[in-house]
Amino acid sequence: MDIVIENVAKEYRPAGFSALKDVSLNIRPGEWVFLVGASGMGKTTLLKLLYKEEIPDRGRVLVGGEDVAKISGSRLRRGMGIVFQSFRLLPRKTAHENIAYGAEVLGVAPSEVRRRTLEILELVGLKDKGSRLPSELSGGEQQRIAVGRSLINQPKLLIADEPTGDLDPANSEIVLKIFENVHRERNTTILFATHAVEIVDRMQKRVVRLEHGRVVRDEIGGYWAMEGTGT
Amino acid sequence: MRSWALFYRLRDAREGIARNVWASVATVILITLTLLMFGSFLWLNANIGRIALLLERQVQVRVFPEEGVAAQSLLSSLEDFPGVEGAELVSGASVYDQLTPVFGREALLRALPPDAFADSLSLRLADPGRADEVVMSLREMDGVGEVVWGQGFAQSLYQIATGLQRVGTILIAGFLFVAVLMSVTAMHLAILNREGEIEIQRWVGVSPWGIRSQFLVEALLLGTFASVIAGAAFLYAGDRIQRVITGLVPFAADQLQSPTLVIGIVLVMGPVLGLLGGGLATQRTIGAGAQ
Repeated sequence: MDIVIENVAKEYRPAGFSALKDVSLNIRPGEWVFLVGASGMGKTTLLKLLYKEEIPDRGRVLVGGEDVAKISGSRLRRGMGIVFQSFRLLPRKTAHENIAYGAEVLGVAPSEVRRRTLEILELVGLKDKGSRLPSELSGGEQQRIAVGRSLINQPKLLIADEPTGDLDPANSEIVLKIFENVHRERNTTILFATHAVEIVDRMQKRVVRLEHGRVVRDEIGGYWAMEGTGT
Repeated sequence: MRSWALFYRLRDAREGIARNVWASVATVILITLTLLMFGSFLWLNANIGRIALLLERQVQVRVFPEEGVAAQSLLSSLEDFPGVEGAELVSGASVYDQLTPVFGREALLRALPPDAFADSLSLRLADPGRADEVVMSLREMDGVGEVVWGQGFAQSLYQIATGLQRVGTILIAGFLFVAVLMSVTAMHLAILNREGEIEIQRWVGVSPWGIRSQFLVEALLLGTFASVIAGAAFLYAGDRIQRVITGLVPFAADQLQSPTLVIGIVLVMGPVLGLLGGGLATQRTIGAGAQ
C-alpha cells in the first residue's frame, strides 16, 4: 500500500502548537520506513493523520491512492494494522480471543477467524499460550499478542507507534523479528516510529527524521543519527 | 461475512450482560416496573375511556312537545338542531308496552289508561359535555313543552372520567420517559465498561454504526427480558385486577377491556424502550466520537 503526504500541516488549537509544518513524503508499497526524532517532534501526529485520528489543517494525505479526507475512517482502517507502545489488550479475553476479536467484529466467519488466529499465534511464537489471559503473560508476550491482533485482518499497511518503547532489548528484538517476517512474507508496508537507536541502525531501512514538525532527513539505508552530527 | 456479525454481537451482548450482571438486573427490574406501571395505566386509561363512552351514551335528552303539537312534526327540526346528532320518535304506546311486562297488563290498566303517556322524542347529542347548553336552547324552541335529561350525575361522571383519562395520558408519558432514561443510563455504563473493545473496533475499521450495534443488541435483550417479565405478570394478575375493577364499577363490567392488548403492547414496548435508550446513549458517546 503506497502513501503520499503532500505539504501537510497540523496545528493543535487552542494552544497554537504546530505539530507538523509542510511535511511531504512518498512511501512505496512494501517499503519499511522508520520515523525517528525526539518526543514531541510530530511522529505520532503524522501517524494519526494516516489512520484519520487527526485531520490535517493543510495539505493532502493519500493512502492506497485514496484521499484520506474523502473516505470514512472505518473504511480506511480496514486495510491497516495499528500497534501502540501500550499493549491495550482486553484483560478478560485470552491471548487467542484478543487476536480473534479484531476479525470477529468485522463479521469474519468463525472457522476463518480460528484459522487466522492459530496462524498468527504461531507467527508471534505464542502457539502454546493462546489460552492465557494477558495478566498471565510477560510484557513482551503481551506486545506480541498486540502485534498479532493488528495482523488478523491481513493489512497491507502496518503502523507502529513506539511498539518496543516499553520492552527490554531481548523482547524488542523478538517483536522486531515478527515485523521482519511480516514484511518479508506479506510485503506489508511498515511505518515504524521509534526511539530505539540500535533497532534503526541494525535494520538499515529508510529513515525519516522529524524535528519541530519538519522532515529534516530522509535517507534510505540510514542510521538513527546522521554520521558525525549526532542527529 | 456480515451474517456472522449478529452471531458475534449476540455473544458479546451476553458476555456484557454477564459482566455487569447486577447493573443489568437492576435495569431489567426498573424497566419491568416502569412497564408494569405503564401497562396498568394504559389498561385503566382504556377502561376509563370505555366507561366514559358508556356514560356518554347514558346522556340522553327526552323532548316532550307542547300540548296540541304532534311529536312527529318536531322530528325533522330536532334532527337539524345544533348539537343534536340524532332524534328518534318514542310513542306513548310503546312506553306503555314496555311497562306491561313489568307490572302486568291488568294492574297497569287499573292504574293508567292506555293513552297515559304522551309521544316524545329521544335525542342523541353530538357532544355530551355540552348537554347543558343544548338543553337550554331546546327549551326555547317553538313547540317544545318540556325537556328532560340525566342532568348532574351522568355529566359529572363523564367529566371525572375524561379528567382521569387526561391525567393517565400524562402519567404514561412520564413513565415512558423514566424507562428510556433508565435504559440510557444502563447503556452508558456498559459503554464505559467497554471502552477497550470500542477502541479496538475503531482501529480495525468497524463503522460507528457497527460499534453501536453491539450496545443496541444488548439494550434490545434487556428490554425484551423486562417486557417478558411484565407481560407474564399481566397475564397472571390480569383476571384478578379485572375482578377488582368490576367490583368498583359493577355497572361497567361488560365494557371492561381484557388485558390481552395491554400485554401485547408491553411486549413490544420493552424492546422499543431498550433500543431507544441504547440509541440515545450510543449516539452521545460512540456516534460523536467515531469518525
